[in-house]
Amino acid sequence: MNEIMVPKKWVVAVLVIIGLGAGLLWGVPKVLGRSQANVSAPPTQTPAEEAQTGQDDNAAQKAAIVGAHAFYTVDYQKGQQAWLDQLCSVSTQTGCIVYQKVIGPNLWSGFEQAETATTVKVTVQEKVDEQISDTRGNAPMQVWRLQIELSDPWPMQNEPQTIFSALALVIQEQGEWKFERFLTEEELSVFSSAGGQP
Amino acid sequence: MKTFQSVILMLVIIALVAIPLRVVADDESPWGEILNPDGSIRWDLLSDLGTVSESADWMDITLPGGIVLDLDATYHRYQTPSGNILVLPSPATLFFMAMHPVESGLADANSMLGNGAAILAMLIGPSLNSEQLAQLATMGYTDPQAFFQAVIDGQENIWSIVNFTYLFDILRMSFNSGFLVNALLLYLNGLEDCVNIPGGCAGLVADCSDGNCVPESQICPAPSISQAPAALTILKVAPENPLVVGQDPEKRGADIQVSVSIPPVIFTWYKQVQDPPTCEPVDSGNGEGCPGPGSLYDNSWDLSMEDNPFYEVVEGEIHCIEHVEILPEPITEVQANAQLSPESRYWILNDLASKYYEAYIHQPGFDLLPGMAPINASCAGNGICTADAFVPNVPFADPGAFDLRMWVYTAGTVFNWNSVAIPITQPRVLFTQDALQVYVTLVTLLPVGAP
Repeated sequence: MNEIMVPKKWVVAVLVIIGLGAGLLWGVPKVLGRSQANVSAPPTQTPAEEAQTGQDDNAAQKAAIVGAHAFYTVDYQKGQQAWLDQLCSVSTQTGCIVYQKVIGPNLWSGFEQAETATTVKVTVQEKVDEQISDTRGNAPMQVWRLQIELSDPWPMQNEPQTIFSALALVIQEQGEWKFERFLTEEELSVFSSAGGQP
Repeated sequence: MKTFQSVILMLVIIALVAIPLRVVADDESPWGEILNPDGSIRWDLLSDLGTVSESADWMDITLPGGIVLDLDATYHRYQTPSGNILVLPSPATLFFMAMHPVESGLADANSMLGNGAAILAMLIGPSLNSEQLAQLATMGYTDPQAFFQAVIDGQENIWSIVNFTYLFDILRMSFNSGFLVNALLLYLNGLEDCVNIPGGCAGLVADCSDGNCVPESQICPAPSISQAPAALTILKVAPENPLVVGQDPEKRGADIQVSVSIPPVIFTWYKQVQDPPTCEPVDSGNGEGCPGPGSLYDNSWDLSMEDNPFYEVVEGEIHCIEHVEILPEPITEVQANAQLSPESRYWILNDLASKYYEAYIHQPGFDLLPGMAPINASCAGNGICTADAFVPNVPFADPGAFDLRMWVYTAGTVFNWNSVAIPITQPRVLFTQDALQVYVTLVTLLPVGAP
């Protein structure tokens, strides 16, 4: 039997390369702040998985659109209850409760005072983030950037504007994508730069 | 590893909460009049000032299009016998207070939890998972509380660690759980500085510093007040299982009973009384005698005692006579309503609507009182003020849970002393709630012969 001689330098070099490779694989996500557990989509997908992802994206996108549409479609004559009913039919349960208890009562007196009636055109710009919500039973959630075009400005705006960007958070609840709320750019940037926590 | 980190985190949080508790239970501490030695709250000694909400510009939600909604901060407050104010913020209010300790007045409190960072650790800490803790470590924070302090100091952003859903989750918690005892904030001398405490001066016990109170003496004990807790109930009394009126041929609806009983304020004050002087013999002969007339003295006197160095006037003893006043706290108004709960509204619009096309909400709210029944309110001779009302056949048309809520407004208490009406306790608002379930019959089609 022939004996193959391998220089010790080669052995050391191979070990160093293996070590560096393992370190990079383990360390890069940590440095970026995104652990393996938080990566929502695997690097490679089977055609079936890709199809599922596409369906999810379509449903999530639709939830973002109808949520924004329900939120910005206001008619003071139909009343707060009609607005809340429409919004609650497309929002998460938590969102529905907060719109009823907090957001609606705060907005609606201004609508009535200014006799506000607005329609809205919602255009999707891009999906900007997707994560898993571990406080909602590991439900998938996505953030979509939308363009909002209001027919008229709202009375409580700092400065009247009818065209602006919005970030809509949608969450899958009982298998169905629902609108939760709007995020601020600051919230999104911090989350995203931090690695999409949680 | 995750479990280990969770255990460590829990230990940190428990330590944050437990260590101050031991300190505050000390009798020398102002917390001594609030907490029992085991850390439980001495509710029986506290005057319930009710719930108060106020606009708070440090508590807001930003919406697209340049809209900033200022939310209302909500507190439940109690007054201690010595005039300190105990404040229980709602969970959402507490969260924003911790984020803005100076603007919200949190920094002025003698808080048992120490500071805003500890409160954020208490509120958010339990929801942090191992990945979030690892993330904090990459940001240079081995102690979550250090991160929360950096948030308060404006060096870090709270949204870099909490979930996208956290804001709405904690807002929802504020309504679903009522006032969880997340944190007790104590404001010393709350009466004197009520303008600067959360909730302001409304409903606080009268401030006597302007002299408009029963005079106090340096010898007698200071006046004190006490009052047993009020009893408020609002509940459905019949039928056992109310059916939506749309499915009930009799349109029975449900009967709601409300009752209120407010014990009197027990106001105890002391009048300083001095006995008349006596004319007493002085063996040394150094007395100044007892000038007439003899009616001045509490003992026998004759003319020979005047200018007599073997007698002198001895002042009478000072006594403190206790007066206990039973002051009724009249009920001025009772308001009650029934509101379809947000969860049920959501269920009708989503779950039910998916099975029954165009299911909709018929009437989500009823203003029960005043309006749907007379209110009988009075104060009895024993000082107990009561109110009750019976609202029959409320026509609930939607299935689900209705929140029954009642607000009771009082006139406070007044003590008439020397023809002067002295306010002893201020008017207040008391609140209670219960729930009522309304049922619906749903039809399910089953295939014939199915096993």
